[in-house]
Amino acid sequence: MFSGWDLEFYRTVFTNYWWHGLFFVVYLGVLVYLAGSKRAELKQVFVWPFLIMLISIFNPLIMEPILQRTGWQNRYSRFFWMLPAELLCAYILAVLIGRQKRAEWRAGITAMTVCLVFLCGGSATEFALDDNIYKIDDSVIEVAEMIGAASEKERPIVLYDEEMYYWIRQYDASFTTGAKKSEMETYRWMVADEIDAAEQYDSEKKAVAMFVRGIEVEPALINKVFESREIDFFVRNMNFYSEEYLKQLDLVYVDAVEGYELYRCVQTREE
Amino acid sequence: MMDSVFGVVLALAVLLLYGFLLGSSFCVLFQKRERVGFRLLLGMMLFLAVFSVTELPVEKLGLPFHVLAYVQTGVFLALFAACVVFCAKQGVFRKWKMSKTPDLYMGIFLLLILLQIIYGMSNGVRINGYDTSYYNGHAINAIYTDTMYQYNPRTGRYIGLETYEYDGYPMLIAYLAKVFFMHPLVVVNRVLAVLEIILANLIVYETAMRLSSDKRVTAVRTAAIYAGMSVFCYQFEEGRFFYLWQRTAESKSMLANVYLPFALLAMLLLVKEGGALYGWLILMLAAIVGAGLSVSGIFIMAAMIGSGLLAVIVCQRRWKYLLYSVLCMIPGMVIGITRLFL
Repeated sequence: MFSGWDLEFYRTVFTNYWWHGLFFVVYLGVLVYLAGSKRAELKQVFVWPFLIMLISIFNPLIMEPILQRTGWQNRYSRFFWMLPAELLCAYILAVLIGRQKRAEWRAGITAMTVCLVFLCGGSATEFALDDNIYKIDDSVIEVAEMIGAASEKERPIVLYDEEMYYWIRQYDASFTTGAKKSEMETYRWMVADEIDAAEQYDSEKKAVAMFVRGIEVEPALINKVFESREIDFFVRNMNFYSEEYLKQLDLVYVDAVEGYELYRCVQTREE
Repeated sequence: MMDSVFGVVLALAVLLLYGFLLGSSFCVLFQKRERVGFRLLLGMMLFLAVFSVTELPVEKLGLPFHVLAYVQTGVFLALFAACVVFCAKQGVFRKWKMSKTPDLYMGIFLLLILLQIIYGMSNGVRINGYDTSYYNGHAINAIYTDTMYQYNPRTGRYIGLETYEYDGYPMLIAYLAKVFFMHPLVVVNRVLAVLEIILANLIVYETAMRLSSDKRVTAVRTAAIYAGMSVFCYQFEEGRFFYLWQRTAESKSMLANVYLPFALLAMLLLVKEGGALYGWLILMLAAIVGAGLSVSGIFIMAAMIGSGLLAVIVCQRRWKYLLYSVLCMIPGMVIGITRLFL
């Protein structure tokens, strides 16, 4: 159901995408230049499609009812990918540099280009060396191998924290996660301090959701979960759970790697 | 052994050579003299288009993953044989010897690509585990369970049929992992990532060449400035460079940096070729790849090509292009509709 115009949304999407808009301003300048040029094919490929998009895809009056019906608000910014802003900016700067016959002018425009790139970029590029050929943290591989070495089952059921959850099955598909997707995502966007610990008594789902976010849920509740879900292993993120708390859970220590400890659930061991 | 630098280089060499052969055959078929880079680009897009067209029916029939692997391999081998025979008959292999040797500009451009590959492959900065866990989870599930989209990618539990919208990209990862005996993470984070960097650069170079009426200095300068922008301005969230360097080789990243820019290049080609069949087919390829390998691409590609074609039709007043436009978009839209509603 259409519930009115939210023009602020479009302003936010625009500013989030283009940041301070320097590239977009240069892009608009290039479009104006192309509109005045004699090359018809450039107008057809760059200028006219932009105008068509402006009155259709980038027109809040048209898009608002569509987005409200489809629920695509979080994907709307991707329509900016249709605009070849960066490519046209790079091309026009390259042409500008090439057109200068005097070396000092050429050097000046090259320097201006470098400044523009840095100004648009804001901060220097982020860089961190890779851990391995898989491009995931070494700890994920180590934990996966630790479980593989300890398990006699082909598909062990494992419970891990939310951080490990998103990565470990990308490396090893033999694990089944001991928590449901909805449980893993219940408190995903909340910091632990904001979570009301009393909610653990509302349902098993909430208790598990809190536990995987590192909250020390009542041991009896979690032990019941270990048993009812036939969980084989629990991977402890060492940033979470105190030693005293772990002693109250039906767990037996197996092994450890940097940052993580592996525990076997007791009822599984007894089987 | 294949999960190593050697394996990655070997897989890339095979893919690029295959793409080059496909692209060359396509150009020879239409009697077009294109640059090596464009033939390679065209060939890789053909490879992706053939994959998306073949993958969809196998997936929708609920067949096991190994059937997809056999069918795709069969199709690609048949295509390879056909291309080799066709190129041999046309004397393409003899003509290759007469091609120009790489010069300074080519050297600079290759160095530029190499530097970006080194940067991209050394940089371990990544922010998204949520989306990659979905795509890579489905890819690794396919190999481990011999099914397609029937197990939850994050929990590994059987779900029967995936209800969330998805594209064919995870199966591309799984298929390449299967044929090259690699881990899916090596395929996506190394092989496809390098491929994305190469293709993105080739598209920029080729577009600039066409815009500047084949001035290589301008094209190399454009590619260099674009590369500088991409590396230094990549922290704009949602921008295409952010996806290129922080979410490399995700299906969204491929859409933003390869499929959509390729569609723009195809539009430029179509206008420059004066509406020849060659141009329409390349545009159709872009639409197929965009819709087949990216859910967002179904809409974004349609909007982009639709706007571009409308502009061409109105400016040139060639109303018969309306029919061609519909025919050009039909395969991509059929794939998109099948993915979304069937």
